[in-house]
Amino acid sequence: MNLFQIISTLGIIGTVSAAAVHYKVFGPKHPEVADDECVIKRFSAGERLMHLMTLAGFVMLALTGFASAVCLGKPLAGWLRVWHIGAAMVFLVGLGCMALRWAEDSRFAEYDWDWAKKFGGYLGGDVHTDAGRFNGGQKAFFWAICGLAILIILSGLGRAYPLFDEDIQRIIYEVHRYASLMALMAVIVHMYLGSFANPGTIKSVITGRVSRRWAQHHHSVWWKEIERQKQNDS
Amino acid sequence: MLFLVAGFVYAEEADSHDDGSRTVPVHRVQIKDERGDDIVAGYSLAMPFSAKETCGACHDYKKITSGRHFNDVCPDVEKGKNSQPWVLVDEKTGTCIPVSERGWKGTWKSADLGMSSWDFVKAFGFHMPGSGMGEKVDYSDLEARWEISGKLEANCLACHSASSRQDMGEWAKQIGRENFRWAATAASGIGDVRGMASRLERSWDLLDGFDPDDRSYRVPPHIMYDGDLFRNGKTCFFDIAKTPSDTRCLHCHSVSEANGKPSQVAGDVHCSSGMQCVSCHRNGVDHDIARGAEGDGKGFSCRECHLGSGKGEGVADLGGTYGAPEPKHKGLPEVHLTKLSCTACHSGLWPKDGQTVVRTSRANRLGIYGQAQWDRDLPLIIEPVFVKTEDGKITPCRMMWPAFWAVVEGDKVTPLKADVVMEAGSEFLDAESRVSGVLSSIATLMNEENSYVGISVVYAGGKAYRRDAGGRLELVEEKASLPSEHCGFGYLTTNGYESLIGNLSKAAEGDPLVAAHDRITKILNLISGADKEGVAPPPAFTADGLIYRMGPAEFEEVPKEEVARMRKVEKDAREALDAFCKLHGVVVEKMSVYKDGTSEKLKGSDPLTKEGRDLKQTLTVAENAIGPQALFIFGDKAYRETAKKRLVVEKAPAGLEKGRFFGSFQNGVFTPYATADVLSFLGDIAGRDGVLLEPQVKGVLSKLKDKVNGQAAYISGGMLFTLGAGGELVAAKNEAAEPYHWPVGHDVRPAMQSLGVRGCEDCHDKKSTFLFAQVKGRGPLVTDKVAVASMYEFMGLDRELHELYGGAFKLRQLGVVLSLGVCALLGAIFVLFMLDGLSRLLKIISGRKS
Repeated sequence: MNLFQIISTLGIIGTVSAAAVHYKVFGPKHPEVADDECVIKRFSAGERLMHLMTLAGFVMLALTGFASAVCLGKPLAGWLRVWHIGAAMVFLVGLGCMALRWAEDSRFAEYDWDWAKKFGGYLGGDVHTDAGRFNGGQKAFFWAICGLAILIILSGLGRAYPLFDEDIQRIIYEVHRYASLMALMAVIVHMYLGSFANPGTIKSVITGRVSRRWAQHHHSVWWKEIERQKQNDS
Repeated sequence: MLFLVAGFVYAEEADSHDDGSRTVPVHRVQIKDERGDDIVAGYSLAMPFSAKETCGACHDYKKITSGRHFNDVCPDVEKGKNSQPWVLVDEKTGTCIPVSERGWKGTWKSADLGMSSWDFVKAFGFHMPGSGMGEKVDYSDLEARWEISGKLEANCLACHSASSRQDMGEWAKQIGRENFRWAATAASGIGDVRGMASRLERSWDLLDGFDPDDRSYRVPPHIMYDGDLFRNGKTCFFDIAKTPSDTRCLHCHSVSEANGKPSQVAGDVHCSSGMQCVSCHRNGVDHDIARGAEGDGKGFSCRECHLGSGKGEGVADLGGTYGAPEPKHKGLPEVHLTKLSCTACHSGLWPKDGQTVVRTSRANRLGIYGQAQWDRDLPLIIEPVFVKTEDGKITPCRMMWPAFWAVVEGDKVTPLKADVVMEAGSEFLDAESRVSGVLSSIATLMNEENSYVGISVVYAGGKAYRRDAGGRLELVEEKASLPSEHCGFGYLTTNGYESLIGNLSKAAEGDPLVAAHDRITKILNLISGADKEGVAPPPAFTADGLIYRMGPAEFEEVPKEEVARMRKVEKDAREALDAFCKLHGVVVEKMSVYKDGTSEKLKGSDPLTKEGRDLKQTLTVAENAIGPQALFIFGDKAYRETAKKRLVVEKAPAGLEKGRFFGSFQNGVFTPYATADVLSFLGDIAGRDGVLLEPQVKGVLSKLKDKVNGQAAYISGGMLFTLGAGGELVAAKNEAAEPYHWPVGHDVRPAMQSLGVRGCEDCHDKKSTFLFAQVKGRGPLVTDKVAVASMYEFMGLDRELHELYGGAFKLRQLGVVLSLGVCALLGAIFVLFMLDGLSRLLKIISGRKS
């Protein structure tokens, strides 16, 4: 096993285990709010589609990339490479659209600092944290993924169109796979928080709608804005 | 115990004669024969020098012959990676079998082919360095003639001679003459070897020396050493190179395009930079030569020289051997470095559809110069074929398909020996020389005006062929005035074509039957008097259900007075001859005078010649008086054969009711020299070597059918051919017909000419010859039924994947634009929002301050 195989195995298993331990210790956050009728529109069809595209692209990239680098212990080749490159195109389109659409919503606000100080309320207790359309963690995830994506894309291009000699190629390869590992770990956390840790959240990226109480609890500032908007409209 | 080991190590080191000096000692040495006796150059019965005794006096012969060039016969020899095998070639039977004692997959061991070590040396000795099979002598092999030829010892000078006298062509010729123990001496140029062991009787022994009764044909091998190279006739100067020059290696290891010109050979980039073969292919006294292959542990693979060994062993770890540049491989995804051998992109010929036929020294017998033509077209070897080799890497290879006659029993395929095949099917396989023999025999037929009838020709397929000076058939330009279905022997005369037995209706004003019989008699006499290949006596002619043959010879009694006269002349001549020889100490044979005990022929300027001329005159008179004809003496009566022979006409055996053929008739069996079937394809094989046609294969298989236990088959072009129920050729795939391949290592091209230098599409394209070139089986049989595979199949790659992948390269630009676009977008968003965040942070800070 090479170093990357060890680190990535530990990283992935560690992240999943941490999520499991968190779930075991703290359990889901306000599970009761997910059961209400979903009446508030959170994501448009376009947003859901681009999120799905990005997710599908990323999962395929991760499966093909890590299957080769971790399981087989060698660079991508053959059909895995073809699927990896194909998935990269889907991921790029989805990510580009997401960046355009959600960058504004991912601007940090002052209450995000408060969210960060309270760890978003994920460490137990009846802690309330304000959040806009996206909470502090989601915003951090957004910018982290965007930042890592730049590294991954450029290093991926450097792999597919190698303009440099072997030594630099090797560095580029390391950048690509370690950045991808970090992105994968972030996505695992993101998926855990968006599903098991916060019941009702996953519904929002499937149906596009959330319950009133869910919005009130998880994204209070955004909910207030929606309410204000409603009043203005009426 | 430690002391014992240390003692052995010391002994081994002391044996190497290497004191660290980089100079090469002058080799003025006492040469020794195979018995270890000193050789005196001027001695008329001097033996050839023995490398084992001469070189072995200072160098460890046993250790040297355990090296790679010699050790293939060792039972525990390391198999190693596939390499070029010996190829057993017989052009007449269309046989090309890869042979190796190392057990590489796809090769045959000599024992499996029924070859003894004698057969092995006879077949491959032309390019053997000696030893190995040459010293694996089996005196119990009754077919072998080791007692006469001697062993084929390692020929140290084949590699280490720096003399321009070293002539490996001479080595090959001596091998052909079975002068094994003399071959190294002849090749070295230190002496002139004459005589042929192959012509000597089996009972001949070295101590027998010359045959006093035969000094022109059965001359034993003997040497005349070049006295200029000897000091005091004993110590001989050898111009020795410690590191062999390339020309020594290339005698056995040359490769060139079959139809290429030497000027077109670019050579190897390493050689262009001044390196030699031995720069990489090094060895110590054990002669365990570095192959330059990855993983052989010798430190001279591409990777080890260019990148270092990676083992942390001083400068070897650093690479740069001989100033080897470190490859940058800009633009090359790393996967190529793990899945491809270095040679895939850098070595051999550029891939193309149909590949390139190449000829190699050992397979095609190159580099043997002389009046005779030694090189041959078979086997057909192609390159490059990219194959996933045992190490799992895609490697450019040379490839050849085995071709041989075989017996198939279940899954087992056993090759048949060439002589078995020839015995059964010579009428099909040897058709050209048989027909040529007939043409030569009948060429001197005279007509009534006592002039030649015309040019003897054979008609086949509407074309006429005559025998050329080399005994091959060549097309006659004159148009034949016969229909295309006609075939047979005849003459081209000034009046056009004339059949072999003449134009009977026009021939005789008298009885046409008498004229025809006269013509047939003449021709049968011509054929029976000929000694031509393929013309087996006794000759006969069949026509219209009759067979014509010559009856037994008639004898007449020689008058008693004539016999007495001849006996007196012979007695006088013998007495004169004996007296002459005794007086001058010479031997006389066939009107030539030799010094007694030698083969030295006296010339016209020698003092004996006056007496010799007188004697010659006496003998000539005697010879003329007796005459050349043999007499049969019974008691006091003598008989001689008359010129009278009677033409016998009788009913032909069944099956010869139609057609007119010449052939041999023996024990009631008529064998035509060339049947209509044979003549039908004669034009297609005339003048071509190593080519078989489907009718030939069908014919031979039908002949072999009853002579072998199992199903007779012929393998060529990757297919196994058998006779179907209806007599048709049936082709099927079989493991025994699979091609044999071995890696190409040389003719390394520089980076600028490497595969992929023009971009990924050099290989990753739907039309790429690297991946999709078709590789068609090749062999002696001219047929469409050959094994066909695409290059990717040999590489173990997926066609759909690489077609898709190659096609995707057209969309790569779009991918780049998309990737860069998304990157730019993400970057711009980052920058904008960073600036925005920064301004907000500044506002917050300034607000707090205020």
